[in-house]
Amino acid sequence: MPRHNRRWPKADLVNMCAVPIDADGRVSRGILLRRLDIDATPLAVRSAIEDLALLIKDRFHNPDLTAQAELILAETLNNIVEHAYRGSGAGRIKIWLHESANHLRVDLIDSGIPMPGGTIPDPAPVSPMTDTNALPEGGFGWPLIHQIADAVFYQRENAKNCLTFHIDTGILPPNLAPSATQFADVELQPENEN
Amino acid sequence: MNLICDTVGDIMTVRVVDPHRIDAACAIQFKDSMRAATKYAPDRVVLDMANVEFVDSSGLGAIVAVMKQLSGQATLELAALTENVQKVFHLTRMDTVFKIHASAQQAVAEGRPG
Repeated sequence: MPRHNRRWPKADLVNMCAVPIDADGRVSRGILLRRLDIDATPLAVRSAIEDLALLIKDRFHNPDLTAQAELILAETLNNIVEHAYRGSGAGRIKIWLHESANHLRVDLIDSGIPMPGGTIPDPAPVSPMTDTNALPEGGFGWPLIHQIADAVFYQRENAKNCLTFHIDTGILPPNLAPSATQFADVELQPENEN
Repeated sequence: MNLICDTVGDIMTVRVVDPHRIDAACAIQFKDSMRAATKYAPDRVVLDMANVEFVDSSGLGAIVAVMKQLSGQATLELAALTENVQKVFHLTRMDTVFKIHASAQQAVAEGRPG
């Protein structure tokens, strides 16, 4: 099974959207590095990406990891701006960055329209073999996401899109996929609407 | 969008001075600025990307769009891709679509006879 099609157990999917944080900032997802709540605009996305990339750069001192995170953040966040919110500029995106045993985990939540078909798009990469004038000017994003992310998960829950991705940090020996027990202490909390 | 153009013979070099990112926030502006800058471009246009630290899929799409805009008038070549930008071109295989030079100087030198 392609790694991006790996599915969480249902209980985890529900909990994933709540992302509760306790007093010392630790949750079952690992250590919370940053929590952002931004406007769904290209400029706000750019600022968020620069902020997160700087944080990752300073924490891991790994240019490849920073570049991977920066690119996948750009692709996923821009998709939300352009597709979930249809480029309206109205709406918010919540971003959580966690460091777990051997990976970075990013959770993105928005209140835009669902993914087409309710699943993660998996289009064929743009073929460079086509006539130059027939080359598409878009459609590069999801193939990049699938190439870079070590796991991508999507769930529509309570009229929200919840997209999660992992990027391996390679810092600790590979851990097994999260088990349901890791999430057992997490209670589903309703999102507070502003 | 700050572009500096330098035409010598049949080669126009366009250096991206600022911003250091070609991303979703400036992709349309980049296309418009490039269209204006290359309106009277000669046969070859070399985009000097030495200052560009980040390109996302929107930026990549904009560069493809510029190449298509110029089609029939000039060829678009790229120069001085930074490491992260090079990776994006490689991952999307767009490095096989564009002629990519190590530097703008090399691109210009290549066009000189003898």
